Amino acid sequence: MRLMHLLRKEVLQMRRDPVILRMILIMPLAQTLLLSYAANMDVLHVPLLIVDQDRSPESRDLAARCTSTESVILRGYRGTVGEAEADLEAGRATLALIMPSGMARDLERGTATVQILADGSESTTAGVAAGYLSRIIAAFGIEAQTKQALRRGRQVKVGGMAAEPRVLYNPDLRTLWFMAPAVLALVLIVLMQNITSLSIARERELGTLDQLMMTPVRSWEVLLAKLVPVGVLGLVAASVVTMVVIHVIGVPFRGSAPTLMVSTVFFLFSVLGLGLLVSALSQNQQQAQLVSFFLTFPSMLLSGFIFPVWNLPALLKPFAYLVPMTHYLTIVRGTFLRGAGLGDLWVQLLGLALLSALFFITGAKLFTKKPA
Amino acid sequence: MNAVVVDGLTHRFGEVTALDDVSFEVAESEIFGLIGPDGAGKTTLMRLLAGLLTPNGGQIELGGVDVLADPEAAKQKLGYLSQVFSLYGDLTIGENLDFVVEMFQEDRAVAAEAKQRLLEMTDLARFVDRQAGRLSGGMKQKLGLSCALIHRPQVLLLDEPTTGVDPLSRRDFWRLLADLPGQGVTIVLSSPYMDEAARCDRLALIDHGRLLATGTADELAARVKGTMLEVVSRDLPAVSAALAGAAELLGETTFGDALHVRWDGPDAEAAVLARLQAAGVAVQEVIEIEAGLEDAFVELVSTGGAS
Repeated sequence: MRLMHLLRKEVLQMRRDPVILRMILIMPLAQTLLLSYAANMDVLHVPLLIVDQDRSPESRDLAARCTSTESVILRGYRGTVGEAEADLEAGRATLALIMPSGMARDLERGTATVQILADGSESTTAGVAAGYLSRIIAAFGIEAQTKQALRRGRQVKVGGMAAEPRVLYNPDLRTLWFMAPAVLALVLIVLMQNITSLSIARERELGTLDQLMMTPVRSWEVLLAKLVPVGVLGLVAASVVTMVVIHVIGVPFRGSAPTLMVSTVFFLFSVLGLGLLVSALSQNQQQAQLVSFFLTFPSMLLSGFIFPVWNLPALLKPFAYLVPMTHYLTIVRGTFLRGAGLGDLWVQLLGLALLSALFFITGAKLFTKKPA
Repeated sequence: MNAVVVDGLTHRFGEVTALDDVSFEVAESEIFGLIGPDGAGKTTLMRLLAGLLTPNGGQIELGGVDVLADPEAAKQKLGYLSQVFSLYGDLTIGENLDFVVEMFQEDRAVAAEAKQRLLEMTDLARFVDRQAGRLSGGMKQKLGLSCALIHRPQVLLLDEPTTGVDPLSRRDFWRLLADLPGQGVTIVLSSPYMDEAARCDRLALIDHGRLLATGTADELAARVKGTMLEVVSRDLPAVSAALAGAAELLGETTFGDALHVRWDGPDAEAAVLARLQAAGVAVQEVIEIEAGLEDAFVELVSTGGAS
């Protein structure tokens, strides 16, 4: 009964706060659209320079092939390696292909080499694009040798083994498909953890918590009344974002909706628990906000949001599993793209349940403890 | 029966002892004032009485309930108004009052009557739909008082209730307080203002976490030793210099353009006048005055309660 009155007061206050409602409705949408498209790791249009010192039909042919891929875009020709290096240093290009004089002649002997210069400060894109170029160049070399051998009337046998990769679930390796479901997790963390941590810290800061504690109300009633409305809003936000990810961004949803729903509830529990923990440790709203802010970094960096968890140093790996987002990301990506069900994801669900329990129990203990 | 019994109350914040072995009793329907400079420990004492802090040692009994042993029962007997406004600024006056009623799970009919009575008493009925955050300082305090009273507590704790409130609202607020003892409510309030202290039935002087003295305002004033003289002069530093070193001089404090001198000797007025004339200091007048609460306060604080 008292809990109902507490809940009504929370809802009343939330409705009178124009910022929080707008935040809950608009922020997740804006973030999902922005982050999904911005966090694009597909390598496209990497600026390339060509230094052709050979000026042979072969070098012109290779240059044409190298610039025919979407991955690079030709920024121009340079006369010397020095000029190309200067442009790389100034950031006007990321890659340079250098074909030395005598390349065509060496090609005939089977000893030709060309050089690729790549700007290491853009390591990811430069590396991927340089890889594309290497493959084009290798294919060009084999083709040239084959032609030559045929001209001389010899039989040739090239390439005894070939790999034929077939990518499952996301055949075009679209980053968008990989990122958009993850953004759902990020949006929930940023929004829900923040709102929860602020809600209790605000009452402490304003002194209303003291006044509340002077009534016979129980600590758990206060906590529950704070968390339930935020949790409900979280579910609404999660549903809206999921719909946008599926219908606007166009990521296929192959799993079952109930699985995702149940997992999202588990995840929300852990996020609210974390918010509660932050709140219990903070004396005022500013502290709560700062701690909350810094807690989103491990969520982004350790969880596999950007780098896969198995890529982490052994020392950091255990911490990754203390981050709720790590488990939720596996679930979200699994249900969206692979159609994974509860049978595949129970370990992650268990992880979320354990983390929720840990955060809630610690947070509630700290909250109830009277200041000394 | 005493409404409040505090015995050997001690509280430390880390290394700092905020309250040191404080004991006092407050009779039923009494207005009891805790007087002391900022940082004396008044707010800590209030929060301990309210059960918001757990003391390192000592006993607190409110309305016959042991606060430390049974904090929930104590809450029913207790109303608390903190120093800063701590109601929900985004809720209206009516909603704030209703919320407290709901938290205490009061009977609806009884509560509605109490609410109406408090709204009329505090003259807030006209503003019942206004958000609490948009009220003036004086109105906020009246609303706070109403929220603290709505469950009809036996003991009302007021922590500096009129600090930062304009003089007119202060008078208004005290008019409300004056009616409460008649309804069986015991009030413990802290205040830095001497004029408010004078309105209390009994007082406790606190400094550096220690209780220096308790008693009525007159009793405390009577503890000032010697004769209190007011010396009016255009050259107060010269008066000070002329009196310095006299064996009979107990203390002196400047009050505006006059010097209050405590003098321990026969025929104080004449003795002081003679000493000043001998030193060639021109004075307008030297008259004997009654020691006030402020004199007692200054003396007790400066001697650490030894007098």
